[in-house]
Amino acid sequence: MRLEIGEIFIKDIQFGAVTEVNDGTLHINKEELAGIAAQDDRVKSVEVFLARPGESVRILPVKDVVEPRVKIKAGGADASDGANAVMGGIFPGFMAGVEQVGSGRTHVLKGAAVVTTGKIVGFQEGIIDMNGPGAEYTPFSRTQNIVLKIEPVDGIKQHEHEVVVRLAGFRAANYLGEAGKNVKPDNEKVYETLSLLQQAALYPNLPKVAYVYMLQTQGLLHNTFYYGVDVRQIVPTFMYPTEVMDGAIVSGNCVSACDKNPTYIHANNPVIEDLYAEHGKTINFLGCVITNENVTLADKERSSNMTAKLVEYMGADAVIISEEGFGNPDADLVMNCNKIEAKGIKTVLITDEYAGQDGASQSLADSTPFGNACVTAGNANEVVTLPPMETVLGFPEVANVIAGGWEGSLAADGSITAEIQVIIGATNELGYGYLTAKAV
Amino acid sequence: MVPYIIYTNNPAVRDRYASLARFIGGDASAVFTAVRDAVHLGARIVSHPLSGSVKPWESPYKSVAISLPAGSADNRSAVDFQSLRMIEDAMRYPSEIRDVFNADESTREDYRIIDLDLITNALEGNICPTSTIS
Repeated sequence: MRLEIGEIFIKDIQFGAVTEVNDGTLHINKEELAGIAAQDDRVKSVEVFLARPGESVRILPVKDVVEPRVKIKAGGADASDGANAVMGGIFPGFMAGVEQVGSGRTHVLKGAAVVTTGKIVGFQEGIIDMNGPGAEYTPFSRTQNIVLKIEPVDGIKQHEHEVVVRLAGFRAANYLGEAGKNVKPDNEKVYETLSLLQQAALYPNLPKVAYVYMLQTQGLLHNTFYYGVDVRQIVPTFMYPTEVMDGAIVSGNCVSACDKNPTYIHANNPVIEDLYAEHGKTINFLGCVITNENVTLADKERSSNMTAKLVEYMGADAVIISEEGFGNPDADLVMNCNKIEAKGIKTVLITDEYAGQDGASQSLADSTPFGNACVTAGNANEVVTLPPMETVLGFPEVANVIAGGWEGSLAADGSITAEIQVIIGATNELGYGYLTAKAV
Repeated sequence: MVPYIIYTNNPAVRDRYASLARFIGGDASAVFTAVRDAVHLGARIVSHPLSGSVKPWESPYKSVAISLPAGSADNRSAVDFQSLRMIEDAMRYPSEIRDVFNADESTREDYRIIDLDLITNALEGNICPTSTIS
């Protein structure tokens, strides 16, 4: 499967009469965008705001972040079918049919992001600061953000509210992505993964590496979808890495801002990017196994058995395993590690930590002696004070009840003292962020 | 026999699963303690005690499904050490109950709904025979 990505660099965003990309600026027809995002009987209103890097702006509570993309042409067998080619669309299963994605050509408005806010539950979290110390913790302080404040009709329940806000974000992102359809990209990338036997034969002397991609699937506000299917209901399966770049995986997660994977990060999964970067040089990247993080131990046993079986069948010498979330998923991480290592396959784990505000507590809820190669994305309990911002977009009153905050977190001057778990992407377990650690 | 019961301090879970729920008056720590005690008598954990990204020390409500030992006259059987390790690891986390517990009724309802949804997703149509002890 081969995918060309054309990146159109967006350096500024402005409201304008016509939605278009012009010389690196994304001009947005505000009313048209709001109208498209609101195309749902369950939406009462949508307001659109812009937030640029460096501005004194705080956004909360952030529901999801979505990158505008557009499919330009189909790939593989579909492409040879000429006019009858069935070209999958971005976010299959939601905004398009369930055609296979991940091949052909896709344009990306690189640097732009749709940020959805919605007050789905009272304790919702998720902060993006465009300036100040909080900006260092979130990758989305560096994107040109189109912020949607979405109010549902009265009386809507939590489940449906989540769906309404999620889909509004996808509609908005796809509408903006269309603006990149006829624009010449600034940068071209090509990713290719062959069928397993061909791939294994291509670099016979390099270690074969698979990626086990764990997805949050515990229930309401903890959902992830693959081609529209709730991943809680799947058994682990093979995925071509390029599928995520066309939105095959989307987020339904609202809780645990720091270590959930917004839809944007799935499409830009840095583990996949880095594995491709080393593909053919130091490793032979075979592809991904997606698996879930369910709540019952029986599900955990079944999924980890299937995952270990799949990577063994693929002939992997080594496996990268990334986790999403904390607590319950730690058990899945450890089971995956143990069962894959038991087959003689080396593992590297990517996680984050809840080690207490002083960093002295046990970091994960489970452990294993096989977890001897482990990358951490940081301690989510670290406390930070976010100074007041001139503008707060979204629903500022939630600051006091967000997880990771406490009564009194929100000071009279508008500053917030809370654990970094309130910040979107602060300890992202795919490593999508800018913070690092150095030995001193 | 029922394959599992639910230890919970969530009224919404008690009401939905009237015949399965064992209602615990108290906070999440009290639920964990009751689960641990049951594990020492031979119960096995069915649903992970740290389910959900709303952390136990942040949510007022917690539900854990366990399967009960069967077959012995005094309802006791050997301790399942995987279950014991899991509940003890869960109890290791900060038990400090924050002021969110003073949240308004609407927010408390959100917490109840989330906890109910997590346990419902875990259990309905999803119970594997291995989760019972025979």
